[in-house]
Amino acid sequence: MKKALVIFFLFVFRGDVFLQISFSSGESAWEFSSLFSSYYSHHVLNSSAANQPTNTLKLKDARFKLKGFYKNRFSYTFEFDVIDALNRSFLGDDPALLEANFTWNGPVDLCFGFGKTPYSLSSMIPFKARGFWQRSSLTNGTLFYRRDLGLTLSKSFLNKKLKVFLGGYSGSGGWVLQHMSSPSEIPEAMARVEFSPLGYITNTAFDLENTARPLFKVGLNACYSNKSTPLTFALDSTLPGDYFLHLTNGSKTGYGADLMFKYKGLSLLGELHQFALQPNDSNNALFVSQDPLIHNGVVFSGGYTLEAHYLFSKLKYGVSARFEEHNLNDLATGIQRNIRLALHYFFNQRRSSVQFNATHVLEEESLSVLPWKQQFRLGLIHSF
Amino acid sequence: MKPLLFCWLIFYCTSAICQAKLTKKIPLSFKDPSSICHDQSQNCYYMVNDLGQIAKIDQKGMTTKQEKVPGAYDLEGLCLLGNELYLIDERFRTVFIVDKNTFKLLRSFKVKDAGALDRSYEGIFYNPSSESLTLISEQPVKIYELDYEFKPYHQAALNAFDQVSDAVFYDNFLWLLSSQNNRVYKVDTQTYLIKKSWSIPVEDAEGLAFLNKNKLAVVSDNLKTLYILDLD
Repeated sequence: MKKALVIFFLFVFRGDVFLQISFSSGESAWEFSSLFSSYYSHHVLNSSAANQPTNTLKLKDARFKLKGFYKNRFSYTFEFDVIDALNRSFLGDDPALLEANFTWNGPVDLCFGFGKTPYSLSSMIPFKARGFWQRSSLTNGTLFYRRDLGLTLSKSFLNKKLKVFLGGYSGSGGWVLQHMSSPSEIPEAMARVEFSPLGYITNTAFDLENTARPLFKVGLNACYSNKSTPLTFALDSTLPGDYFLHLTNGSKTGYGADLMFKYKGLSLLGELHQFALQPNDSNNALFVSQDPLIHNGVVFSGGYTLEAHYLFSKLKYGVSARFEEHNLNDLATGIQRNIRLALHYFFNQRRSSVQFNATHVLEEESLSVLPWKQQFRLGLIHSF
Repeated sequence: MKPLLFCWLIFYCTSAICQAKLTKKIPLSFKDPSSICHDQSQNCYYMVNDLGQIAKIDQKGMTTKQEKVPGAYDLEGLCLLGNELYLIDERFRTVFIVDKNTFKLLRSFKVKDAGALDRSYEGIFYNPSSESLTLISEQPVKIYELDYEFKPYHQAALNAFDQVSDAVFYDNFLWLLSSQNNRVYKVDTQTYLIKKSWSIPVEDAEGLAFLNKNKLAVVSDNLKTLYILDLD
């Protein structure tokens, strides 16, 4: 089924067409758009993982999006990924429903519904505008839910140089779509402040505007949740996530900072995040069978990423590099360090690209051992 | 040695174009300006913004008159024809005709475009050679020529351009502004080929107007600033 879809998209949708459809009537306007991405991966496996497949062809996304406006007062967005739906991924960290929200543009913008949470600049950069096939483990939803149901308030000041986000969310990410939220009724709080003193910068990994003078943006993020699940409450065992970092019974505090710089096709991005997790139960899997009192019952998780991108504006080629280092659980042994390089060829007025990624794992944490040391990925991203 | 030469060649190819010289920066009190035109008879500017407002601006950048255009929400282009200002709403695909002195709405009409809502009409100008009111879309860059009943009768894709933020007809040439490439292009109106281009030191350039043959006014949306530039 997936291979048939890959072939369908590759041959039916040529690179030079725009299939975005919009129409307006009176004071309302609507727009349909979509995004398709597919890649081929080759892995250099560890000797202990010889039975794993070395090559994979994957249809990553087939997204459809509807955006509507009434005057310039209201807007609403609905976005759905068919591939995730076929994978029955309606919930969890990677839900098939990507956006279903409504925004009122008043003195303060109020956005209610399911969608992206305002934490981490890398997380907020749209997939087609980022430089790699995969986000860093720090910002891909492992540490915090990138999408959740809730209310976000945002307001810009000083000619869009300063923007403030405040939000309250279910704290259960995509699980909330299956009514799988924690029985605790206290919402998860998130806040973000971003400041670009020299001028507004768009949220794209590449300097697509070919910025005429140096611009930078500093962002500060914070989040807090405190959940309590009664021992008798039957909770889905997969809800805390692969590394048990989405606490269902305990408190979680996260802080992060990010810095973006853009000038004449060059863009640099750095992020730093640290989370403190304090489970209520001493036998929580987060303690990885160690004494909970090592850090007074607190487990730390965090790390940093550094990215550089350069866009040869006239030639429509781009290069990217990323280094990341993180420690998902300070009680587990080891840290994760990897380096990733990418080459891009943009076409279709930069709405589409062919992207090649090479990843090399330098060091691994005992919690997240991959079956491969090197990965090479070549694919197509096409938005229309 | 060869990689060094290759890098130098790429750098040379991407930077070897004319540069317009910045002579003056004028801060504006008008919020989010998205297009500009110059009225030589009154020595003033008219600007619109993406809040559906129109303003008359003096040479010092002060707003002397400002109105919300009824039914307009995302104005991205304007041009002056006689005593009438023609404004284009990008998102709602509507042209508004207002009196330049009173800003009273005289007429409005829709011009369909099925492209992306925020990548549609960015400029409006009168082309005397085809005697038509013409609209230009941002991405993909297309022109839409309207007949005397304001119905589109001719479309053309301008494949030499990947993005346009404003357009103006001046001195028998079409002049295009690209915020993405920070450039102003002088374009032949028959072939739509580039005759010459200038790099401009303006970030987020959204509007373009001519003061005289060698002097340009470029307005920046996010920086709320008017830039006066000299062409060589």
